[in-house]
Amino acid sequence: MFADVMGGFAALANPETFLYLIGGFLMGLVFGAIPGLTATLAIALLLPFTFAMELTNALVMVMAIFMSGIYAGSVTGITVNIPGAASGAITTMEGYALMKRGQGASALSLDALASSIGGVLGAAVLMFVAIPMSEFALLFRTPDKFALVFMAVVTVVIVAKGSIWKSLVTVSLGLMISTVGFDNMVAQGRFDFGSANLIEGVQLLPAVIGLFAICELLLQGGSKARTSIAANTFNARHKDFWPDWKQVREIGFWTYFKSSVIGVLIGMLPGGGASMASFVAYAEAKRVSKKPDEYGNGSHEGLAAAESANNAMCGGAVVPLLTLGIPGDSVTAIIFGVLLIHGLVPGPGLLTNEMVTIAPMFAALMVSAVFVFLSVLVFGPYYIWLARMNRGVLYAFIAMVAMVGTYASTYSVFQMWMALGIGVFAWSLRLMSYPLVPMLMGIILGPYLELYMRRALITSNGDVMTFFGSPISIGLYCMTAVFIYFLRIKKPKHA
Amino acid sequence: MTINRQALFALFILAIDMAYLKQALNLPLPFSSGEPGPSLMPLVLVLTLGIGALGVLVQELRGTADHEDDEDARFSLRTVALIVLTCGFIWAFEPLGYWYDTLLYTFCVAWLFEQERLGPVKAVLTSALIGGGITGVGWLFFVTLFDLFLPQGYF
Repeated sequence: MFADVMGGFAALANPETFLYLIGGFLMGLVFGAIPGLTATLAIALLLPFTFAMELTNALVMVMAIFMSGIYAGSVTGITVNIPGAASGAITTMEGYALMKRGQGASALSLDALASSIGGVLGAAVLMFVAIPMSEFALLFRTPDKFALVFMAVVTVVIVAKGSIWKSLVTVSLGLMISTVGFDNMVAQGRFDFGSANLIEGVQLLPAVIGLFAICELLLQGGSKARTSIAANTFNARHKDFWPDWKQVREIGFWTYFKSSVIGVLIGMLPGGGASMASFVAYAEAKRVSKKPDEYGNGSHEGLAAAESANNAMCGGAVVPLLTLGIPGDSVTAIIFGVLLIHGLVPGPGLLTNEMVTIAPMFAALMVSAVFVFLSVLVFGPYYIWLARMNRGVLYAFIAMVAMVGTYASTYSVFQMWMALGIGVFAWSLRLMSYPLVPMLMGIILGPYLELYMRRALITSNGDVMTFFGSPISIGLYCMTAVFIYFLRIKKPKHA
Repeated sequence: MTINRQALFALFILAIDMAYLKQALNLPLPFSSGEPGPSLMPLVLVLTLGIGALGVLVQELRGTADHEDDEDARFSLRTVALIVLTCGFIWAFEPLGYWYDTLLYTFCVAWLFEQERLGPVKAVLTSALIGGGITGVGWLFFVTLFDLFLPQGYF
């Protein structure tokens, strides 16, 4: 096993394979950073080209896109308050607050370091404990999965900054949006008003574009000039992107490690995803933090926790795919396709029979995670430059990419209207100081919450006690109660 | 006890909740066929949204709400102009095609931001350059590089 893993690293020494790794990494950076374009889209676009590629090169490139795409979602979040992907929403909240305080370089370097640590730990888990951990994931029954998603939804509400009632409103609105369209269990349209477009439901891409890109464009329309960012932010040089080790020590290795473990575990669960991983890790970091008041206002700790978790998720997400043949999200579903194209069937037996073939994939994930940290040292000042860019250029570009990107990935004018509608609604919510991240999480988690709830009730003939029937469920509800206690009940006593 | 804009917005959310409830009641009721059915989750959400909106409303009416205003969020005519422009862009996207529509849209968006810095007349030339550049980059990126389809217009 160890020799096979080392063989994976040796495969990367081939110059051609290494170039594919670099190419994939840069492609992931571009797609991840631009709102409306995602790592999923980048890998989907790459899929037809993998026919002509050697399997090793194809797998290496896909893994590099996956890792850098998840990381890059946070870059535009920190610099211009628009996350390139949904998983960068928490980082955006903390990172942009730091950016406005003149700590943009520090936020970007901590972001890259956390992503790198999370990515390396996630890849290490994938290499050495994939098989035993996938057996643990198999123990999760439907009510346990419901308990996990329920915990994520509750933490979304209690963690958000400001009024808990407003968080409840926006998460409910997000969950309501997720119910639009064809029911996923019976042949029944819901809230579609007879429209053939609405029957397909609200896709994630227009929702993310609307909530973040369009909303930010409209908010900037209302502001005079971007004076709110401290001027010294723009003086950052390459050396400023080395992490401040004092800050890193303050965050603590334990925060990085624990958040990464949370990311890996959530990544292993089908439907988990980077967004859920970052939210749960963020909530846990806030729960045990000595400075919980900084969360939501530019917390280094919160930023590091969220980023470690969402990049660690990359390693975790590949575990059920390779060991059980279950793709947990859209990216792993496409990786499934890449493997099938080359005659490899993901599932039991793949790792034992084809470890030599698969090992470069693991190595690519780990090396890409290291590249994440190196990339900020090289490109850091250019990332900051995004926030300094002429407003006319920046917002005309964002407007174009948001709208044309929506069309290019859905081929639907209706989805452009959808993005605009959600954007205008999100803007009105922001005017009234409602948080938007819970709404996005509602849209992402809604289908899973409903599916697991109904499936559990069907298999138990409507007995609600099925939700409390296993130690895993009870453990997850206890964790939810602990989050509520520490983040909402105990907090006022210290205030 | 006064009605402020926050309370009015909470009432607007409650109105959305009622409209959603009306639609949800058109679906088969939960467990009417022995299964939870498609209306269970929507009905639970009607409850949670209602509780959230009522919570905001009660806090506002009692004057106990803790307002943390979003410093970036302000209303302006430029915002309205951006919404109208984006509506026009989407409406004309397929008939006009990518080039003309995007050129016009990016020019107008750039002008809205640039006129504040350069004045309305000087901003015209700069915005035209920005619009042209961004439209070209968009085509290069979406079509040339990634081979995606963008409409060419009806004429």
